Amino acid sequence: MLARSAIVRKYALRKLASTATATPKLTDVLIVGGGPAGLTLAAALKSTPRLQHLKTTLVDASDLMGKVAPFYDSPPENFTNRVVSLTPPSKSFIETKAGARMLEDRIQPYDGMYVTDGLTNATLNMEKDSMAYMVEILNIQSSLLKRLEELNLPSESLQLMDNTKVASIEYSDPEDTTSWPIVTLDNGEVFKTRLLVGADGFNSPVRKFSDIQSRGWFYNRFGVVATMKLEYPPYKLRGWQRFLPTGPIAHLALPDDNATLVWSTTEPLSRLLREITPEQFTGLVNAAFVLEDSDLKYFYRQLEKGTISNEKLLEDINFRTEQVYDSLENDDLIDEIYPPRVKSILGPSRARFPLKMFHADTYCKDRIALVGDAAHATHPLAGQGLNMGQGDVEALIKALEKASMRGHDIGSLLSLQPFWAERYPINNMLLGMTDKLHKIYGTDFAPIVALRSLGVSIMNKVGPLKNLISGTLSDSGK
Amino acid sequence: MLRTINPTTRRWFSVLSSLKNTAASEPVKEPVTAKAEPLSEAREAYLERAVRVDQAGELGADYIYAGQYFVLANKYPHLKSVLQHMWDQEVHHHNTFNRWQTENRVRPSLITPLWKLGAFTMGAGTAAISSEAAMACTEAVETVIGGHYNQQLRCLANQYDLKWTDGTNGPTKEIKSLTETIRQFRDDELEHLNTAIEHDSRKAVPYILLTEGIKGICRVAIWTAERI
Amino acid sequence: MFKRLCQVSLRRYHPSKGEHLNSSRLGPLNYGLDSPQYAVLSHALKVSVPVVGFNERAIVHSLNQLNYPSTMLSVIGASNSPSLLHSSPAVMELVKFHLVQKRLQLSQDLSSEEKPSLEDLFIKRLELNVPIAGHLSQLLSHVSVPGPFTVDTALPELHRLSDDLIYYSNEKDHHDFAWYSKRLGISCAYVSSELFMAQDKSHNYEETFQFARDKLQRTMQLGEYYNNTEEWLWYTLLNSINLAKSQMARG
Repeated sequence: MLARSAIVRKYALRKLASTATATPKLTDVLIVGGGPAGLTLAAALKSTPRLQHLKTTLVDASDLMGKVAPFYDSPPENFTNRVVSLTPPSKSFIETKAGARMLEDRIQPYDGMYVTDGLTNATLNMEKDSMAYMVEILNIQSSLLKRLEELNLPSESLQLMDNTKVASIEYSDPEDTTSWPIVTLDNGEVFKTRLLVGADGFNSPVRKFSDIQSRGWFYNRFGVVATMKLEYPPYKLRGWQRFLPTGPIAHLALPDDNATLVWSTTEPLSRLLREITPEQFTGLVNAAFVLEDSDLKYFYRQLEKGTISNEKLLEDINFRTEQVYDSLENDDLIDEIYPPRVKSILGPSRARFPLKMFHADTYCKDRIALVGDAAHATHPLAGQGLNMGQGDVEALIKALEKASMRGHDIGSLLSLQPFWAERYPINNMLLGMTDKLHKIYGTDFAPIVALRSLGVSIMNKVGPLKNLISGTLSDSGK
Repeated sequence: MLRTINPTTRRWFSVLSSLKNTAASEPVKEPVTAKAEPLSEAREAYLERAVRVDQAGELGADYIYAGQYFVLANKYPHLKSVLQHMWDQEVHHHNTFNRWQTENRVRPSLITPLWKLGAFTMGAGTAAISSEAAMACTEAVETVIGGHYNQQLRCLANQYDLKWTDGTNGPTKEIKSLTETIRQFRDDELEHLNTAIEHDSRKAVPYILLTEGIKGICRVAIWTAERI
Repeated sequence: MFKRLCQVSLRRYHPSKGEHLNSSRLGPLNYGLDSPQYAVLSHALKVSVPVVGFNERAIVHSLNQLNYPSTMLSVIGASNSPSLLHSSPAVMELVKFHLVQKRLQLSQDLSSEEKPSLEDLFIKRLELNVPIAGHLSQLLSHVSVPGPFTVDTALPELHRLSDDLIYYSNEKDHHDFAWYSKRLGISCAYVSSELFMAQDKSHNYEETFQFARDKLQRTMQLGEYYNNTEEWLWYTLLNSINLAKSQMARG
C-alpha cells in the first residue's frame, strides 16, 4: 500500500466533506486520470529533481488502491486481457525517468512482426531484436503506484485521490482564461491549481472544459480482445498480424504458453465473436490466420444462423487447416508462417470496444495540458496508442523542466507550447499512418488489393525500407 | 464533416454529421378544405431558385463562422461567446433551409464543395488578418445577405397572391411560412451586422478594400448559386 | 428568363400537396388521366406491347380494340420532334408513356407511415418491367438513339426515377454534392440492371434481381467512400493548419 500520509482514501474524505469549506486548496499540478499516462506523469514529476518541489494532486475515478495497486505484490496467475505493446523508449522512460520497476516475468519482448494480407497472402516480415514489449496495463499502473509509495512523500507533496470524480471545473476569474482553474471534486473537496493536466481519456472532461476541439471519426469497427492459452510455447517470439477484409487480427506473445489477441472487425461480427462459446471462438481464431476469407465468411454465416454444432465447426476448421498445411512445401513452414495454435481462451477475458481516430486541435492552453487519449485516439493496429501517451508525458516533463529552470510560471502557455510543438507532428504522423493502413486494408477493391500486395512484396525485399518501418514502429516516431 | 467526440456540441460543422442522421421530422401540415390554384411554372421555378440560393448562402455563413472560430477562438477568448452565438444561429438557419430543400425536393447547388471551402477560407483568412478584419467580413456578408433576403421578401409578397376555390385571394400557408422564416433570418443577419460594427469592424485595415471585395464575392456567389 | 430556366432545369420546386388543386396534366405528359391519348396508350402498354413490342402495330391494335379510328395514330405524340433515326412520333410517345406511367405507379400505393427501403423500391420498379421484359432491348434501343428524345425525355425521366426512388424510400437525402452523386449512382445502377434484364433468360428474372441488389449495394458503398473522403479532406486541411501553428509556437 502507499504510504498512509500520501493517500487520502475516499472514506476519509467523505468525513471531511461536511467540514470542507469553500476555500480551495492550492496545488501546482492537478492531474485528472490515473491511467498509464497520468501515473507516469505523477511519478516522473516526483522523480525529476527540478520538478520535485511541485505540489502534485492526482484524481482518478476508479479504485486504484483497492483494485490496481495489489496487482504488483500478488499478481493473478492468468494474464489479464488489457495488454499493450510498449516500445523500448517508452519502457526506458518509465524505468529511468519515472523510476518504476515493472514485473519483468510478466513482460514479453518480441523480435519482429509477421504481417500478412488476408486476401493475397502478401507478407511483410519485419525482424528486430526486442522490437517492443507486451505488457499488461495493470503491470504498468501498479508498478508506478508502487514507485509512488516507495518515494514515501508527505501529502503536501503528493496527494492521490482514487474513487473520486471531477464534478466541475471553472476559472477562478471567469473573465480571465489565464487565471488558475478551480476544480471541484464529487467528494466536496475543491482545488485551485497552477496547471491542470487532462490525462482523463477519450471523453476527457478537462478537454471539454478547455473548449479544445477534437476532430476525427469512428471507424464503424470494433476491437475484440482476449487472453489465450497456446498448445505449445511459440517457436518464434514475434507478433502476428493478418489483415482480413473486415479488419486486422493480431496474435501477440506473452510469456510461456500465453498470448493475447486483438481482433478488429465489423460491429455485427464483433458481437458474434463475443456471443459464441469459448471453443467456437478458439476455433475461429486458429482459422482466421490460416484459412481463406471465403471459408471464414462461411463459418460466420453458419454461426450466425446457429446451424452448426461445436464439434462440426471444429472438425471442419481442422479439416480445412490440414488441407492448407498439406499444400505447403514442407512442414517446417507451418511454424514459420502461422502463429502457434491456440488451445483455449480464458473464459471471461473477451471484451470489445469501438475503434476510432481523433486528434485534438492543440494540447495546451494557459493553465491546461492534455496528454494521452485525451489528446488523441488511434486504431490499435500499429500498437502505438499507449506509446504516444508516454511520449506526451516525456515531452511535457521536458517542457516543465525547462520552464522551471528559467523561472517561468509552469502553467503559462509559453511554458507549455514546446510540449505541443514537439508532440503534435509526431502524433499526427503516427495517427495518419495508422489511419491510412486501416483504409488501405479495409477494402477488397481488386486494384487496391493488387497494389498493396505489390507494395508489401517490394517492401519485404528492400531491407532499408523495411528497417525504416520497423524502426518507426519500434521507437514511436521519435 | 468533422464529427466531434461530443455529439451534443451541435455547432461543430453540422453538415456531414447530419447526413448520417435521419432526416428531421416534417412540420405539421393542417388539412385545408379550400384549394389554391396550382403554381405556375415560373412561380415554382422562382421558389426553387430561392430555396437553393438561401440554402447555399446559409451553408456559406455556417462555414465562414466555422473558419473564424477556428482561428480566433483561442486567440481572442473575449470574442468567443460572441462568435459562438452568431455561429449557433447560422447553424440553425442552415438546418432550416436544409429541411426546406429536401422536403420540397429542390436540388442543392452543384458546387457545394466549393462553397464550403471558399467560405471557410474567407472566414479563416480574414480572421488571420485581425479580429477587426473578421468583423468587417461579417459586416460585408451580412449586408449583402440582408439585402438579398429583402428582395426575396418583396417578390414573395407581390407574386404569390393565389386564387382560391372559395373565391378568396392570398398566399398558401407554405408561402407564408417561408416568408416568415426569411423575415426572421433577415432580422438575425442584421443583428449580426450590428454586432460586427460594435466589435470594431470599421477599424479594419484596409476597410474599404475588404468590405467591397467581400460584397462583390457574395454577389457573384448568389448569382451563381441561383443557377448552378 | 423564367421560361428558359424551367425548360432547362430538370427539377422543380414541389409545393406541399394539400394546399393546391391538382393539375390536370400528369407530370411531364401533356395530357391527363381522362384523355383519349391516355386511354389508348395505357391499353397499348397493358395489352398490346407485351405481345407485339414497342411499335406502331401495338398502338394500332389498341386503337382498334378501343374503337378509335386508326388515323389517330398520326395525332398521338405529334408534339415529339420527328427524327430520322426514330420510327415514329407515336412510338416515341408510347415509350415516354411507359417511362412516366411506371414511375408514377411506384409511388401510388405507398403507405405514408412506413417508407420502403431503397432496395425494395428499386426492385419493385424492375418488377414492373416484367410484362414487357421480352421487348426490353427494343425499348432500350429506342431511348438510347442519340438525339433530342434522349436529351429531352429519356434522361430527365431517368433522373426523375432515381429522385423518386430516394424521395419515396427511407433512404437519407443529402444537402450537398452527395445529392448529385447518389442520384447518378442510382441511375447508373438502374440502367445496368435493365440492360441485364434485357439479356436475362433465368426463371422469373431471378438473376436480374440478384444482379440489381448487388449493383445497388456497391453503388451505396461508393457513397460511403465519398463521405469518408470528404471527411478526410477536411480533417487533413484543419490538421495541416494545426501542424503549422504548432511549429510556429516552437518559435
